[in-house]
Amino acid sequence: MMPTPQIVPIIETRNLSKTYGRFAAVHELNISVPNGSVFALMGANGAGKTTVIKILLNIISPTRGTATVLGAESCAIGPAILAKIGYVAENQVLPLRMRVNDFFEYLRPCYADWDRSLEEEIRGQLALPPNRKIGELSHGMRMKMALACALSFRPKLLVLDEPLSGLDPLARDELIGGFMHQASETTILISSHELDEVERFATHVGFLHEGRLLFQGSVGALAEHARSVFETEGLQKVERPSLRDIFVAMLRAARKIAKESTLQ
Amino acid sequence: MVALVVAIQLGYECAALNSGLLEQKTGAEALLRPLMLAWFIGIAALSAAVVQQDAVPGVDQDWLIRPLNRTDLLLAKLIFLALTISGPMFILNLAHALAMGMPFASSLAAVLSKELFIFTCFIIPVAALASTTRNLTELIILGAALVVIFAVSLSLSAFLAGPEWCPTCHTGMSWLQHLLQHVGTLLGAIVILCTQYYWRRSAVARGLAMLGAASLVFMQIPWSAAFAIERWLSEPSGDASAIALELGEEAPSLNTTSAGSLAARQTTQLLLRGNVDQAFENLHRRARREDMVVMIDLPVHTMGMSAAEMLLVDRLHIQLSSEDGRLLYRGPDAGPSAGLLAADPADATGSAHQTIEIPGDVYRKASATPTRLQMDYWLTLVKVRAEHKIAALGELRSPDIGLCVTGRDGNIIALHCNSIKQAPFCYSAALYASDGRHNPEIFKCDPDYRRHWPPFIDVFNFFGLELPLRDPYGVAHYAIDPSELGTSYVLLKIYGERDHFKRTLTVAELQLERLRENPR
Repeated sequence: MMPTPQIVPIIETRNLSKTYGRFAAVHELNISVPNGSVFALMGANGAGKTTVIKILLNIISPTRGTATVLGAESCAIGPAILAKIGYVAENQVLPLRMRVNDFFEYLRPCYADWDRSLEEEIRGQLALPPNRKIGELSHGMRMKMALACALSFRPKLLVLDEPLSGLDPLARDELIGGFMHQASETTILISSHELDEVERFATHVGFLHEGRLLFQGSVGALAEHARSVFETEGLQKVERPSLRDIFVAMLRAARKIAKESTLQ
Repeated sequence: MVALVVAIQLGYECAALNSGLLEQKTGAEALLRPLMLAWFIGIAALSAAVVQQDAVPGVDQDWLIRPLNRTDLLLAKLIFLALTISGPMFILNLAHALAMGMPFASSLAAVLSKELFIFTCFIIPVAALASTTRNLTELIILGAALVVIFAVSLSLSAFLAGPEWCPTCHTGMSWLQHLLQHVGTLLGAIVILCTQYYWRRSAVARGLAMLGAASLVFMQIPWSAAFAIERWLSEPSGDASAIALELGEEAPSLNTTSAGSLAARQTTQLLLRGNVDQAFENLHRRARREDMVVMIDLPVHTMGMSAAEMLLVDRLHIQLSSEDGRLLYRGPDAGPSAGLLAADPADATGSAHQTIEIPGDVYRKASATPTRLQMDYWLTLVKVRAEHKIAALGELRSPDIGLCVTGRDGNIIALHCNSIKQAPFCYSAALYASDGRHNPEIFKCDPDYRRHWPPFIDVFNFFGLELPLRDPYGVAHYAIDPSELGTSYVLLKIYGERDHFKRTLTVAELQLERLRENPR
């Protein structure tokens, strides 16, 4: 049974936009991630999920709008805030020449809250080879190592950007088991297009399509919303529609609206 | 990689130590150049690798999401480079200097300034460029682009401004321009590093680097400003107040020659001396003059100088105007003869010849009418500040000039000196017999008024002369016979700058067509 999330948002964006030339990667985005929630930011490839995350972590700057993360403006996020954020991403470029042990040793002094016993526990649980070079690890093993690094300092916010992509079912389970182990202590923002997997653990959902937010809310609110979407779209009602069904229905609705506005 | 760079440094120092000051040890000598090149490539590659370990461009690097203070990260990298490049280099250079018998205090000062210079003017700029790229390939491409921009700017500048593109180049004040360029490079590098580490704007940083490459060419110190700074720095001695220039009694002469042949001859001479940029500039300058060039030879008499003094021409500006004051021609230089006005201090008459150049079209327009010629001289008075006696086949150690070695090399006596301090820019030497007879005095003056400028590659400054001993063709006969070398000595005179000043010499009435032709 998941703990009831608190209302205070740990991440909040206001009219957040990011454009590259004439292309709008993110458009007027307003999302709110409640403290203690597992917020799944979902969308097809190219929907703008990674761009949003990079803005939230001050890796790139927004073109317009603002975002606050752990109470700080994203543009002003520095070491103090980053010390409370764990991050795992599919494309994360790790120091490939370092050995796993050396990487942990390198990171420990960076985080004041690093918990050595927790590190040992997670490393044991994920069966990380201590003396292998990071460059020699498989993709799944690298993701697990990155997750172990992200969890060992008990982050207030755990950001996972497409962590399940390219992993086999066993690795997925191990990874999900790894971060859900600490879900009671942290807020998790996970971006994914793996709808079936995310459905298993998300408490809140945000649907992104072409940089625009189609829906955000709790999983319960999503079910309510789904009903109206199904009715609008004239689809057959399903007793317990899956995230995939709902997302597809919302996508169709969004495309229909876009087509109509183009014709007008 | 650190070990490799240190090994190259060690190899270089060993080769330098073994190459010998006078007698050439070709094996060690041959190694110096490739080792020096390898050393430069090595420290550049190490600097780049250290910076690119945590590449700044891109959005997926792990370090971006770590709680790292950017200042700490940048300082950590610079300290690492200082410890791994400057540290070993400092130890090796100091050991080399002490092994050569140089005084500890002078060696320490020279080595420290050299390491600081290389760190600030090479390692930091390379690190700055590396911070705008992800890997060595990108860095090489950016470096090549910067070289192209620099070369194009240089050509453009020479094309647009002619010889005035660099007013201080090839003068004793060029160090001011170099200082400006080095300070500019360092400041540019700091700006790029800050742009990258604090704002992560790689496109802006690359743009700044390209702008900087062009600025190195176009940002020039005007001559008058450079001269004023030099004058302010040199604390005038007042010795120059008595010096005056006047036109000698000998009649001026002229020589007409085609611009093309003159350009070819001068350019060839410059190329043979290895002054490629000056040769390019000369060729361009002459090529623009469509027809002949008229060279006027004027006798100039210098007064108020003692036998121990010499007068260097830093710059000569000529202005030819008509009788009614209309400007006919203004030229920034006097051709190849500008340099030493009173070359021989022993010449009590103080007479010298000054050659000036006037374009053929100006000559044709002005030759029939009386003209007024004004020559503005920017001069430097140098005076003997030290004299050293060295056995004709021996050596001398002195805190002033370092280690000097003399030896016979066929028909000459070679004098080679190796100083931990700045080498003198003006000096002369002559071979003396014990009874005072002496062979001709040989002068070498290459004006360079810098106060202190650390050597970039070698911690030592080399200088020397070749003194005639015997004419193999039997035309010249010298006072000292080679058999007397055992009791002979070389008298080395070191000149130091005394005053920088300006004088104007005016020829009130000069009718060009009446000058006698003096074919060369």
